[in-house]
Amino acid sequence: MEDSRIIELYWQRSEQAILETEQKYGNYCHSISYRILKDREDAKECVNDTWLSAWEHMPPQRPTLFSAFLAKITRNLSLKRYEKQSAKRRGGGQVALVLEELEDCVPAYGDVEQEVDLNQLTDLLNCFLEKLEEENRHLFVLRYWYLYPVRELAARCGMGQSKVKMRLMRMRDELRELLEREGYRVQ
Amino acid sequence: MKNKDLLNAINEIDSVYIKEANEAKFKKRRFGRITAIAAIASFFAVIGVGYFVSGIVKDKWQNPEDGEIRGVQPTLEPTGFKESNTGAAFADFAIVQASYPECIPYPDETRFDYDSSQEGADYYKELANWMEKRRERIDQSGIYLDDLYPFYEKTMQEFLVSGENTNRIYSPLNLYMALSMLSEITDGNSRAQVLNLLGAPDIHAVRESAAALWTANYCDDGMVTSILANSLWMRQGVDFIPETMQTLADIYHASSFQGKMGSEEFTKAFRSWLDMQTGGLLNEQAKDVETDEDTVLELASTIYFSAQWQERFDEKETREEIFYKADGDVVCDFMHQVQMGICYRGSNFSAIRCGLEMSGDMWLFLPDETADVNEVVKDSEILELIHSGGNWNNKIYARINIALPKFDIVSDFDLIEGLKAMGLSDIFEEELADFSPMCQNSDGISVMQAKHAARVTVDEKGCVAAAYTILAMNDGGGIPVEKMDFVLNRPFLFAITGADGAVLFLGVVEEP
Repeated sequence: MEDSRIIELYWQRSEQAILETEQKYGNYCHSISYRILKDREDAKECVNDTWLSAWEHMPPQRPTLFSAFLAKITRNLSLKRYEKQSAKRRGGGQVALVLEELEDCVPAYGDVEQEVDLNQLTDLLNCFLEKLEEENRHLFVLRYWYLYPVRELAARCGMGQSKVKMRLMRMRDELRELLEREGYRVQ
Repeated sequence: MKNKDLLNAINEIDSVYIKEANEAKFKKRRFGRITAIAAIASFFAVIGVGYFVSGIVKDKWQNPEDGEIRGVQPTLEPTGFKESNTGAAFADFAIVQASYPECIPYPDETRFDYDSSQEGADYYKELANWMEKRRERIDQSGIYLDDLYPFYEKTMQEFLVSGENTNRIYSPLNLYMALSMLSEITDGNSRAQVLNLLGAPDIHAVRESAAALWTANYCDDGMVTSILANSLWMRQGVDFIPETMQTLADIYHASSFQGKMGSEEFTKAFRSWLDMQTGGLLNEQAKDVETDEDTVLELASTIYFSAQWQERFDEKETREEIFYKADGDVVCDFMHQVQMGICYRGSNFSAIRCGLEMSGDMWLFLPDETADVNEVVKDSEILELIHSGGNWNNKIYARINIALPKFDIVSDFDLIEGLKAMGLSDIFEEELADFSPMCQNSDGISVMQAKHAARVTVDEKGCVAAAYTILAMNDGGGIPVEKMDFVLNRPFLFAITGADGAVLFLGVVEEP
């Protein structure tokens, strides 16, 4: 079913909307959640919560890119769940790794933590992504948005892991420089 | 700001990027891990000084008796060179071994389980450390690079402009290092002329620049191979001035060898060293190198540089096409690749830059169909573009269909006339040459030989280049995306730059 038709079902408050969404995007959202949580049951719950959240947001929202709209919800819910469980969990999928990597870009300066406007930061990230070459942008998003393991990413891109890591590292360096230029405090 | 803030902010990035990444089809790469070697450059420069009167030998720079062999072996075994080592015959003549800066090895990822949080973090720490140290070394030459461009300009005009339709290549960096060493063993007007060509106000400036260039361009860490080496080949019984020789060892990392000039063994040793340091690429040219019994000192300088294309050409896309030479057509293998990148426009040429893995770049300059390749060489825009690092007004961002012929070209030429034309006259005249810093009783010594050879090979994996210079002195003697074709099917120019931006090779391909 076309995305626009599914969205229409949400607006009509038809529960068929959730069934259609699950059928079309269930695997997609589950893979996003699973990369974060590394637990099938947890991921399944997050995906179900995603449908509920979508139900709550439509209406009034009418997303232009339905898949990304759902994916964002799944990722958010999964990260929150990860955070709650992190005290109990060891390892914890790719989140710990990604946080370690992102540490390169954004640790606080001195003892004073900087208040961050997430909207501004997101705008900056969008500018950063726009300027990246297409392939690098995909790599960045797959790693830091989808939390693809490097091994999986390398296989998907047909590159060696070292090359993927090097590209990611260069992009993180570029991002750090951009954040510094824009006044974000970076170690 | 915390890393979690960034992770959360990433969540809200433009949905288009999320969708596109999920649906992205990456270019097919038949090769998995990039191994290491693609662009190889090597050079040697040799300065020989003849001296009839044997002085009293002192210190380590002298050998008391002709024929005696000393056995301090240099530890020069760069990665990848062993196969080319022709027996290391030179080792028997070594009296001082060069000390090379330690390069932190590129972290071996196989030691880490990347999907383990701790080991992933450890790996990145090592990688970051490697990057930082490499960057520190590369940055050494930063303040000196601008000053090299007049030298590039002069030598490029002298050695690349030709009325003959032959391939010609040379190594600006190697020539610079060789002449820098030459400045150490000359004085007076002889040195002044060398300094003038190098664009240096005094010998201290030369030392600083040469040392920085050496540091920035020397790397042998398992990922990048860019090896510079210098050596002194000294005649036994000559009273060399220790301070000068020590300076050459300290600043230029020059190993020292001493033996009987003109002897078969010493000549063989010399060739062996050159062959090894140039990775065997100039084996044929090195065979012609001789030591002469009148030679007092030979200075040799080499560089071996290797890297791979960042984006390799697919061998399946290589096919025979016509290359339009100035004096006829020839069929050769053309490699093809589509790149999203920048095409630069000069007044009479177009240019693109192809990245070399973890290293510098290969610039390709295609003269307009109406322009002769010599005209483009004479045009200072070539170097201005390289110097700009791509910060160029006239450029377009485009989908570029690159067609580049595979080539393997060699140049081997005498430098004397060119050096004279660039103002180095005294060193070739025994009455005028001043080699007093080199040895006692230096009267009558002059440069009798100055040669340079180079080789560049380009294929799907990358490019391989080699060159040498011989100087011998004897006594008595924001952008719209467009589609465009970049087909290098007529004589063109290329430049290979090192990681620091220094120009390692410049060449004209008349016939691939």
